[in-house]
Amino acid sequence: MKSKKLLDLIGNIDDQHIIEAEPSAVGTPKLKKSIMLIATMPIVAILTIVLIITMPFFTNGNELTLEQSHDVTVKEINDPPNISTSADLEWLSEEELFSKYQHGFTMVAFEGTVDQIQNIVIDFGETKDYRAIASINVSNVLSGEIIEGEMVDILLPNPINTDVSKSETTYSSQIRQGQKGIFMPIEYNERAIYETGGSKLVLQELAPFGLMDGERWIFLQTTDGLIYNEAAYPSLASAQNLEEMKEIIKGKLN
Amino acid sequence: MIQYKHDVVGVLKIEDEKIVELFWQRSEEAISIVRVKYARYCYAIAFRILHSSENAEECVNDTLLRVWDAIPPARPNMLSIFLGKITRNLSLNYLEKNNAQKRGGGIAEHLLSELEECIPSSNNSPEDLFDEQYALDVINRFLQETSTSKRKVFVRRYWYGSSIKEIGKDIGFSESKVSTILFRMRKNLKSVLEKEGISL
Repeated sequence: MKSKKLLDLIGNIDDQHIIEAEPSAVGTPKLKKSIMLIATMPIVAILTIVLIITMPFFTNGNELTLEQSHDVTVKEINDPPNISTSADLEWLSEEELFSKYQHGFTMVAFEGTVDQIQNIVIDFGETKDYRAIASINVSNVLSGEIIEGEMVDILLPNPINTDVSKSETTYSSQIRQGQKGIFMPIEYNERAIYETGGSKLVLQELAPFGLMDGERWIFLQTTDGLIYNEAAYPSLASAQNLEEMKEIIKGKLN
Repeated sequence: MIQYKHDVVGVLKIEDEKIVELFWQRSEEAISIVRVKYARYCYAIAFRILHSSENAEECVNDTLLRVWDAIPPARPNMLSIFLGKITRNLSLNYLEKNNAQKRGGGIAEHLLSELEECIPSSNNSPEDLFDEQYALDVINRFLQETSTSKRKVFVRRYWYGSSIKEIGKDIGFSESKVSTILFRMRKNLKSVLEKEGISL
């Protein structure tokens, strides 16, 4: 077919044209500064975040007490700045995504309602990272040693506000207070350490749980319907509501 | 032996030329690193074309095998694009071999249909021949001479297989504007191909 021949030809156009048109969702941006999360598996990338601060910020909240971390401060903030980040995520099959063990960490899964969200700034001196801690009221446990009615804090890979522009946080950036959803964070252990330069942050000092990235492991019920990464979780396509989704996920957790 | 950090982000810090060097040394670490660094990139390209998670995963795995066979002798300057091209070709070939799926509403069917409009008319002179490299040069020149925004629209559509809606959203054009740009570019490309005596 002639048009197939033309489509093949277009496939070999100059690299510069391909790079120039690269969609942001497909991109593999250049890393500028890295943050290390030390895990047990050697060749596993969870999430690398690069921060480019594009406007001044104002800290206006409490400073969190850190005992094991050093050369780092963490403060609550109400108005996170506009930031731009990039990240390379490890690609995982759906089966791998449902694994209860992720790179040396235990993954938990539960249904709950977002009770509170607190944005934070992590100040390493030369670099700053912006995140949020979401407090989730657990209503149903699918996996893990947590109990119904418990309030669980999860460290999010992004702050929550309307202006933030952070790649690889398509779903976590949509978390809002009062929202119901299914959350599958990892339980931080002593190996969950975030290092940059000479600074060290023990993530357990911020929250007992954390999302590995903002693209997977999160399923939100919104007024527009269910929000989750459909490409990563094809077997959930038939779910019409959170309840049906929960049943499918229960069967998939391995 | 090329050194790189064995932590969760160290592998991402390794430069592409060092990964290519690992391939040249026939080190299987190269495959592991490429999988971590670029599998998601390749998957996104394959998924756009195939609209099937399972098939896209298969294409990504095939891409890793192909790149192992291709380097050496190849020494790509841009490893990501090299992988992307392999993934794209494998995905299109997969569709070609699976006609039933091809009719399943995937974007490739739309792309092929649209590109029919670019095919030069058959009344070319007898000396018109298909020279792949020459045809590619003509297409590259055509793109080079087009404005950046229009070129991006064209490449997003016919290289990445993005939908009109996606392109409009990313580039900041309305869907109708994207459609109009593509229509005119197809018409212009046909004219250029005819003028250059290219017979597909």
